[in-house]
Amino acid sequence: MNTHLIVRTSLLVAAFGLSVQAAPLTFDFKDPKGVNNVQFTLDAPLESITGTGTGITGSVTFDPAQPAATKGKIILDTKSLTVGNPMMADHLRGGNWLDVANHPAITFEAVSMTNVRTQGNVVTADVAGKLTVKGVTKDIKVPVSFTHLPDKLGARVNDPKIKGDLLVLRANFSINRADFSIQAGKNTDKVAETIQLSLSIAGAAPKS
Amino acid sequence: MVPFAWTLPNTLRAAALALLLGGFGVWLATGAHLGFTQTSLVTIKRDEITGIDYPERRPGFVAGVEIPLGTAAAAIALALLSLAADRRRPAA
Repeated sequence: MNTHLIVRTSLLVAAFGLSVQAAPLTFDFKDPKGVNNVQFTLDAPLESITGTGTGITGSVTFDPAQPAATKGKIILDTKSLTVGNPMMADHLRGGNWLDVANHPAITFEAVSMTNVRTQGNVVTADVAGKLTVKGVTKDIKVPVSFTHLPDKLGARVNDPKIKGDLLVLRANFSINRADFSIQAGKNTDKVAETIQLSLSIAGAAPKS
Repeated sequence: MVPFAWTLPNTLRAAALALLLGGFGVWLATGAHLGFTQTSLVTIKRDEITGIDYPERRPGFVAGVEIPLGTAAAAIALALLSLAADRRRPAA
């Protein structure tokens, strides 16, 4: 009788453990280490204009067992965008270009995923979603890699007592600035229409 | 050899030469960068745990091509002024 009870309890505990393991995890992309970044490049006659943005927040719900169900939203603080030349940085943030005073955020909201492939702890997929820049929202599709790093949160924050997983997202894609009313059709002799973007961000899902 | 005198035309020429050499000197000394002036510099680093490459931006100065071009233009203007001052000077 007792043996029977122990076996049933063990099975219940195991089943509960598996269900916890399989549950989707919500990763917070606010990065205390300041590592998360987006780099952008625009071709220009004298030299390519390359800049960075580091003010990244947002959350992504990711289930390693069901990566195709991934959902989430990433937000970039436009005030964090900068380039090495101070005059260019002022122009970039000014009303004619990104108008950061009136449009403080660039957002991407994932809607669905296709071509999902899993290899070890890395999932690659084409993520369809809504990109909003300067108040204009467009549907775009971005190739993204998701690297799930179980139990690595403690190592990242240098505190082994903190338990949790990390999720690293990487994406390289390009957009057309005219599509987002950024000097559409203007200054094409000075700055290319195409903006190349490279996103590298890590989110944390603490476990209690 | 005529000794150098600090007349107005000569002073303007000396200033033009100093500007020209100064502009090119600063440009060469900071790496002869063929783009625009940069006041912050980026070093790419890698986060050990996540493997993310991230840019670390620090204050720094790299003179762009507008520095030697701008000082050259100013030097030409001063040289032309020195010629004009030479013509207005009464003959000795």
